[in-house]
Amino acid sequence: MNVLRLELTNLRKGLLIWSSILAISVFLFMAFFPSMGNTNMNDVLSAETGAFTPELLQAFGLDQLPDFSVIQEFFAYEMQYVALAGCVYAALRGAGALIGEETSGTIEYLFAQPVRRSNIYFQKLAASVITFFTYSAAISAASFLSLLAFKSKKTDLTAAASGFSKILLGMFFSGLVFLCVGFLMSACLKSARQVTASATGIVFGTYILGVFAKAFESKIDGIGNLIYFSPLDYAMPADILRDGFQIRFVILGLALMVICIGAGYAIYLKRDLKS
Amino acid sequence: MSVISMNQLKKYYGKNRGVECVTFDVEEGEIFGFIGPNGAGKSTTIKLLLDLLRPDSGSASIFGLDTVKESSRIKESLGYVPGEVRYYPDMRVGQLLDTTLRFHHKNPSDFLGLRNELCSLFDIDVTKKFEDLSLGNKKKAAIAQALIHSPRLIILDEPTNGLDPLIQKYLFDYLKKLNKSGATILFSSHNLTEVQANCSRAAFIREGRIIELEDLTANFRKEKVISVIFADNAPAFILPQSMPEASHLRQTGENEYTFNYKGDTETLLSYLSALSPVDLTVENASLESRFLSYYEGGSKK
Repeated sequence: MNVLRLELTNLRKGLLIWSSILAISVFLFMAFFPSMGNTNMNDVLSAETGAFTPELLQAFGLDQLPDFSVIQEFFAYEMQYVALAGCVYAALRGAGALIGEETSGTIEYLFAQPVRRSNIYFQKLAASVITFFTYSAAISAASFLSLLAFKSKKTDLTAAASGFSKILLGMFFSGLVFLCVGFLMSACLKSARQVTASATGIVFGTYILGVFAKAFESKIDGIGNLIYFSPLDYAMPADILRDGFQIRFVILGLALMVICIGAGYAIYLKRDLKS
Repeated sequence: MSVISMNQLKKYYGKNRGVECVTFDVEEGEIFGFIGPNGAGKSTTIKLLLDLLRPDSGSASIFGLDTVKESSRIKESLGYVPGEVRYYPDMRVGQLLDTTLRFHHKNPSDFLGLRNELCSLFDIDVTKKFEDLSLGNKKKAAIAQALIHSPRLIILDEPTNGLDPLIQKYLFDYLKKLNKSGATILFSSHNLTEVQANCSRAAFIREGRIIELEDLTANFRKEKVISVIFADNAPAFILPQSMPEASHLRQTGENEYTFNYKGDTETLLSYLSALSPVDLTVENASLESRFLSYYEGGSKK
């Protein structure tokens, strides 16, 4: 477990920065709920968004206007952006896991130690998952703390907590898919300098595919299938809150994770480790 | 018994040559030098041994174990000093030494004596972070981490690069001590004096191929470097077939030639006197002269 320990130590700083910034953002955004929690605000929003085209509403996740007086719906709206940021973090974490050691040259130290390539691969994967889990736990803690701090008198705490839990679990699931996709990329990339562009590119690229799929599915035949290329849409907060987890997306996400981990492993076992 | 055995190792980086054909053995208990100019393939060879790179063809074994299939087992008994030391910037030297021991399933508290000895010998501050260390201090820390688990085989890639002369002396004294207690040592170097002073054998690599394996003990001392100058109108000088002890002829001036010679002096002098040279110099062969004969365009006979 030495690689795992080493990796967790190296990831501490990044984890602390991402967790702190996003946990504080979640909490501060939720601080707006009490002022949103009156029905007048909903009327204002309905009137304002009435002028938007359906495609634009889709792009902002307002195609089915949430009831901002219900805390879990307000939370779901907020979390679609936090989920996007979380997926970027997960993809960055995955994409940097293997190639980072090669570009920095530390792989030469690691590979002089009695440790198998397979152990390096899976312990680095475990470290990335643990790190992302810890990040998700911090976001969850901030979320539930904000629920307790900003709930209104009419909030059904049990329903709200259940909604929060589903949304956070969905966010973790989407993030894990991106982490595994990033891990496969890490086994293929030639330099850590490509990590940021590749990881953010894959998250935003697939997100936009999802937006297109939803916006134009009624206008262009077959374009709705692009949704399967968007892991963020496997567990979009508003959808999760409304419909729960969809089994086809769960299976697809799990299959994608297994394929990425397997393919990354096969590539990593054979590749030259340049330093 | 061979500790390291390489058989026709070949490695290309795309179209660029890493090594073309590397074959040599390092015997148990040897201090073996690995010599070659920049880009000749020294580091590539070492990285192939460590399984950082996978060979295109050929094979290598260490302790009789295949370097690709059983790399992890090999490294239980191997210490490695990289040419360019790049460790975790946030890590302190002491943490690195402890981590290395844990990788070898050893308890750091059982190795405090050796740790203190190495840190004292090489003047290492274990509380410093790597990002705060100079090139030389990083190298010293790398040497300590390679030796901390008492390996049976030590591979060093240009170990003295960045070290001051005193620490270089301490290093080779310590390596010789380890060698006497059974450790096998392979190191690459540009410094021919340190190879000649410390190694029993050396391999010369040029353009990815091993061009000579040199015994640096008794045989090497027999060899002379002959420099000869002829008159302006003299015909081109060639080494005669009747003198197989002469080799590595190279033209160093218009009528000046240098070659290596291992035979008896009488034969040499009687042959050269017939050619009436205007000047003749005989020197003991040094590794430097041998290096120049290999890499300065000299052709092997």
